[in-house]
Amino acid sequence: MPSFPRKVLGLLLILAAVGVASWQALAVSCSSPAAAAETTRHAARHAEPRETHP
Amino acid sequence: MIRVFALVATLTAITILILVVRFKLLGTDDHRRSIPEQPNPAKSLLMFLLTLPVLVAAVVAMARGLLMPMIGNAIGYGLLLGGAWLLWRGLVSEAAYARRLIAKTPFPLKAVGGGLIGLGTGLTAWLGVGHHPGIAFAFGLVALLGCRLFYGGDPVAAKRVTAASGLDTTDQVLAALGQAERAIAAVEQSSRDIRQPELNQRLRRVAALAREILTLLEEDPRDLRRARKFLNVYLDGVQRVVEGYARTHQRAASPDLDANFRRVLTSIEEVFQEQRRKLLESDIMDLDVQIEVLTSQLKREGLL
Repeated sequence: MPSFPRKVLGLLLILAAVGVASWQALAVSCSSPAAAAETTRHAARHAEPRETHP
Repeated sequence: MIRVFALVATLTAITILILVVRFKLLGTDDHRRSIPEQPNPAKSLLMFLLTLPVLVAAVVAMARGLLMPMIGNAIGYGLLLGGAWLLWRGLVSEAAYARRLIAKTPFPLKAVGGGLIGLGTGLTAWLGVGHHPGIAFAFGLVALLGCRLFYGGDPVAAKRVTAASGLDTTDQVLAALGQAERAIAAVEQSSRDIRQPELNQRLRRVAALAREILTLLEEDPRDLRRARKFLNVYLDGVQRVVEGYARTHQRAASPDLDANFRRVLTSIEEVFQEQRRKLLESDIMDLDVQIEVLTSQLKREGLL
């Protein structure tokens, strides 16, 4: 791939991943306590093994 | 509070955009040169600026008593910062590699930095934002791919040199050139302590001549044997004399000492100019011999 489009694509991907994750993290930290608590619960739920129903 | 953060966020985003467009997409003077002296500052700064909101998020989460987002953001920011630093060091090392004619393969700093950026992004997306681990993994992967495309890969091949006997002399040449460069840097450092414009100017000329000689030696390492005296005797001598003068000059001013030092510097400059002339002459002699051989070969084959 030529250098210029490769770099532009790379820049867009960096902005889409690193930029979005950074600003989302900031938005979640500044959001209402209920939303933040939901995030905490959500992360903890995925961190623990899931319960299996009989 | 949220409005202030929104304002800061908007201003940072605009700054990043201006920096990137100014230095990266439009290009700077560095881009017009074939070999850049230093990496593009916007390219190095981008990742440091882009990850700043994660640091703010970690502080806000701590202030609000949110344990999991705080841990996620803090670890994520640490990884992102480490990755940004490694990427910057990788760019510096790549510029140095491009400048040199003889160089070893540098450590893949950009690859490791990209990996840390991917890891940090994924962790922030998972613990800091609360995304599903699968989505967080995708964030990390996209960040890694973006770094690979935007910053490029690390240099993989060493720029080696072999002697006429066929022996690989890369390490010896690099060690000799490295020692000489350290001596020149020490001379430049000591010259900053000397508060005499005329002597400073003379020292700058000496340092520039020495660097020119090193470039000639790097272009043709066969001359290294001939320039051994210059590397081992003169450069070390210059370093010792300049360091000694800078120390004494700070304590007490002496016109006799100044006159002696000026005389020594004049002799050094002459010796360095002579050394450069010899190296250039040997190149011309080599070229003369090659032309002679080629001419006789063409005559033999009846083409001349």
